[in-house]
Formats: sequence, structure tokens, C-alpha cells
Amino acid sequence: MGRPPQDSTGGTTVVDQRQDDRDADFASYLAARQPSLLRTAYLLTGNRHDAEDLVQTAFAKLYLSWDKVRDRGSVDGYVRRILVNEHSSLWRRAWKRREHAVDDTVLHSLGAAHEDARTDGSGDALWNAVQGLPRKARAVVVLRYYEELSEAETAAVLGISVGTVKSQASRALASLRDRAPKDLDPRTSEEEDR
Amino acid sequence: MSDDDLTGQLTRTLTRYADDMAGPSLPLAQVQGRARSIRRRRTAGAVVGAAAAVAVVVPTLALATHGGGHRTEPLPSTQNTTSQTPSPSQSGVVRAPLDVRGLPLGDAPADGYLVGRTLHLPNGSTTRITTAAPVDAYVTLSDDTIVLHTRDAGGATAVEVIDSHGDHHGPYPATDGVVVDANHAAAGWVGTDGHPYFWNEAATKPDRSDAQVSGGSFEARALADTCDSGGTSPDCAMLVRTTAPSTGKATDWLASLSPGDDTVQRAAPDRRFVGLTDLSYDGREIGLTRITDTGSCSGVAAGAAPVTWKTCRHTLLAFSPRGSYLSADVNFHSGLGSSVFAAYDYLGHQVFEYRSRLSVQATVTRSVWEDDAHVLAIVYQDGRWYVVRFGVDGSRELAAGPLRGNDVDAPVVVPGAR
Repeated sequence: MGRPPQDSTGGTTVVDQRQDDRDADFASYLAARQPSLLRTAYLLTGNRHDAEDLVQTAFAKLYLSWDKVRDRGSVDGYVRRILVNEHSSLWRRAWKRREHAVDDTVLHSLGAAHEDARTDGSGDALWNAVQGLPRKARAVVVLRYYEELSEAETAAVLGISVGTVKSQASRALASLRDRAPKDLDPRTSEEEDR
Repeated sequence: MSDDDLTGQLTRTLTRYADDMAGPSLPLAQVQGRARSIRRRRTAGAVVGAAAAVAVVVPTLALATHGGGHRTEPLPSTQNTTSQTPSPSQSGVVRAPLDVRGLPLGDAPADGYLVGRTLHLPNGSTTRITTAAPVDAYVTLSDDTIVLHTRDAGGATAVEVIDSHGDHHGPYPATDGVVVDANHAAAGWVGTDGHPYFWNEAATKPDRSDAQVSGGSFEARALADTCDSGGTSPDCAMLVRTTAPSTGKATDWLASLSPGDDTVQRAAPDRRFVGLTDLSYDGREIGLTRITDTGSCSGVAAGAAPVTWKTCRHTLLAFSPRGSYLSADVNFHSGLGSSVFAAYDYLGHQVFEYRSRLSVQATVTRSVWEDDAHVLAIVYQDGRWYVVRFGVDGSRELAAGPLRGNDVDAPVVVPGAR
């Protein structure tokens, strides 16, 4: 392989310049999209540390694929898809052992959710119930009701069919309704939000 | 509460929690550092998950006498519950006869197992499956989807899927092999049309890769470690072996599974190996370095580097999930099962070797690493089949069985075992 061509000013090669341009391009995207991706990651993971780690990994994977993805003009969808699937993947890494641990946590958190509902309001109870959903169902809920993606867009992000999105969402809502306190009154929460 | 009330409440609650979330800005250098770390795990486009990639599927020498077509049925277990550990030799290697009778009873295989049509699930329950043909291999996904590879009496193979809701899909025409990525997020196989297919968690149908292999028979051997983003990763690939019908020559390929990418490239094209057997998550490779009429040699290499170490005493089979150990069997495959089962550490030091004797004859037909310290092997001895858990510390215990059966058709299938 020959030497990369030098530009007329000496020192910096065309290859170096392209890399700099690429990094600058990526850095702009990183700065612009990081806050919103962090919020989504927080809803998926339920804690700040995991959310920050998840976002860093998603952007790192995006960085590795930047040229390919940028040229396809689908960066937002791609990085969101990495984020959601990486969340499932991180969870999976020790899936056998952690499954039991998470199940226990879920049981405790659901118990706490009902207690919270009586003292702190329905929002916290609902938040805890969402965190108790299976990760895939939680992802559907976050994408549909926070990101407000359509069923088709949600299906595309998760790499599943629209039918599966519908059934997952329906099941998740039924589960939340069952798990949330019976006296949960959305009108009260609306007033609290104002 | 109506769905509209609940979804409205959901949106408000999620928005309120999300709005409270603000973190320090993530510098580009930090992202680049993480990217370098990820890239190190992907070597030369050939990083393949080790958890499911197990063993060269070549019939090996049968030593056991014929058991004679008994009906498959579990036998009462009379074992105690303390695992058995032969004493190591002076070199620290545990060497003992390959004799699995009377082993203590341990836990069932962590990912379950299949006996006939009865699936033994990891939680200890059982369920009946109804496939069009007998199952000869299967893998499980972390959402409890089960991807079954079937083979009918005429040898025709297919894949059927039972998803996490219990819904049945398929059969889909398939060639040999069903594989799963290291995270149990996606399973894959090669269709009779030469296209790799994969099934993601929560899917309702398989995805077909645009890539296509040709030239003889096909076998799916492993899925890339980088398939953990639902098949969207640009580096997601399947290791496929093609075998030429006229010469029997085997060639290994990496076929892309990424949407819009139809590349197929030679795996290990640098001639260090005559065939690729397995690759660790961190880019090390196991391959056959030489095959003769009487034996073979296997070696381990990292990335594009020369072979680090090799052995002609055994055939190296598979890395443990974290790559700390390697399983191995007899160095000459010529029948139905291996008379030897062994393990090495990553530096090439042998840790155990169980070998059949004239007076004690058993064969290992398939194996799979259960975790980084234990490998499950399906063993036939004296008319019975055993699933034995071999520890790298030399311990052995019974994970399932014994089951009556002839010496050809194992009545038990362990997920991922090949």
C-alpha cells in the first residue's frame, strides 16, 4: 500500500483531515443528541449509573459504524436501536443468575410501589411498576408512551413485528393496571403535574 | 381506568422522571476509548461467540458395544450428591478412565435439556413439544424462545421455533446446525437456499440475510459475538462451513447478517488453519493445523498472529465462554463418538483427560460449555446415556440421565451441544 497523499500545506494528510472531519461531525451529533438519549436510557435502566454507561456504549458503537450509518441517513433510528438492544444485551450478559436477582427486585419494588401509592402519589407507583416490567415490554412502553413513536416505528427500533409491539404493549398495560394501586386516579396526578 | 387514562398517565410520569435526568456531558475522547475497547473484541471481522460454538461435528470412533435399540426411559438414580474428583497426577493434570457409571448426581443442565418430546426447562418443570420431526439440536434465547433443529427419518433437516408466548413457527427448511450468539439474543441457521437466517428475541418470523453461500452442503457453526443488537450490528456474521460434494473439501466462511450487507468472506484465509473450529469472544481462534490419515493437530492463534500453541494429542473443540479453557477430544475422528474427553487452559496446559480403556469403554458424542468452569458432555456407556458435568478442577457429576438407548441415537439433547 502506498503512502497517503500529503496536502499542499505539509504535515496533515488527506486521510488525517478526513478523520478530523469525521470526528467533528460525530462530536456535533454527540453533543446534540446525548441529553435526550440519556433520558431514554434512564427510563430503560431506572438508574443514573447504568443509563450513563448505556449511552456511552451506544455512542461508542455508533462511532464505529459512523460512516456507514451516516451515509444511510438514519442515525437517530440506528442509535436508538443500539441503545434499546444494548440495554437488553447488558441485562443478558449474566442472564441466568441475574434473572433471579431481578425477579426478587421486581417483587420488592412492586411491593414498595403499592406503599408509595398510598403516601407519595400515583406517579411513583406507576414508575415503580414500569421498572418492574420485563425489559422488552418496558422498552415498548418507553418507546410508545415516552418517545411517542408509532407502533411501526417502535417495531423498527426493536426489530420485531408490529403485531408483537401491539401484543407487548397490550400485555404491559394490563400488567401495569393490575400492579398499580386500585385507587390510582389519573385526574389527581394531572393536578399534581400542573 | 381506561387505556387512554393509563397511557396518558404513563406519558406524564415517564416525562417527569426523564426530565429530572441530566448528566455530565460525554466527551468524544471517552466515546472513542469505549469504541477502541469494543473494537479490540472484534478481530479481523471474525469475532465469534464462544458460548454456543462447540465442536467439530465429525462422527468419531465408536468404542462402545452396541446397546441394541432399547426403549428410552430414565433409570432410577442411586447416586450420592458429592461430586467426584480424581486425584491429579504429578504434573497437575487429572487423568482417569472415561467411566461415568455411578457418578454423584448434581444439578440439571443450567439451560435445560430435551428427552424425546419432553423438554426439561431450567426451572425444573417439563413441557411437551410437537415438532414435525425429531429434534437433533436446539438453542434457547434469553426471552425463553426455543429454536429447534429437526431431522426426519430421511435425513431432511428443518428449524421450528417456539416463541416466548408458546406460539409455534415453522418448519423452515434448513441445513445442518443451529447456533446462538453469546448473549442468547439471536439464533441462526443456514437455509437450503444457502442464505443465513436468524431469529431474534420476540420475533415472529425469521430474518433472511442477503448473503449467500454456495457449493455443496452447508452447516451453521457460530454466530458473531456482535449480533447482540438485534442483527443490526454491521459486524454481525455467521460462521458457515461448506463441504464440496465431490471432494469432501470443507471451507469456512463468514456471512454477513447485517441488513443491506450481502458479503461473504473466507474465514481464516491466511492458511494457518486448514479448518476453523471456534473463536473466542476476544478474537482468539481454534483451528485444525494439520489432518493426516491417522490423526490431526489443532492450534490456537490470536487475531492475525501466528499459532500460539498447538497439540496433536487431541482435537481442540471449543473455548469456554470467557475463553479461559478449551475442551478437546480424540485427535482422529472416524466413527460415532470420541473415546477421549479433555480440557486445556488458555496457555495450552492440559487440565484433565478422561480416556477409554479396553476394560472400560465410553464415548462422548457432543459437548457444550455450561459456564467458564464446567463443560457438559453427552456420554454413552454400556447401553446407557449420561449427561456429565466435567469441572476444570477435575470434578465430575451427573447432570441428567442415565437413559437407556442404542449407541447411535442419543435420547437426550442439551441446548447448544454439538
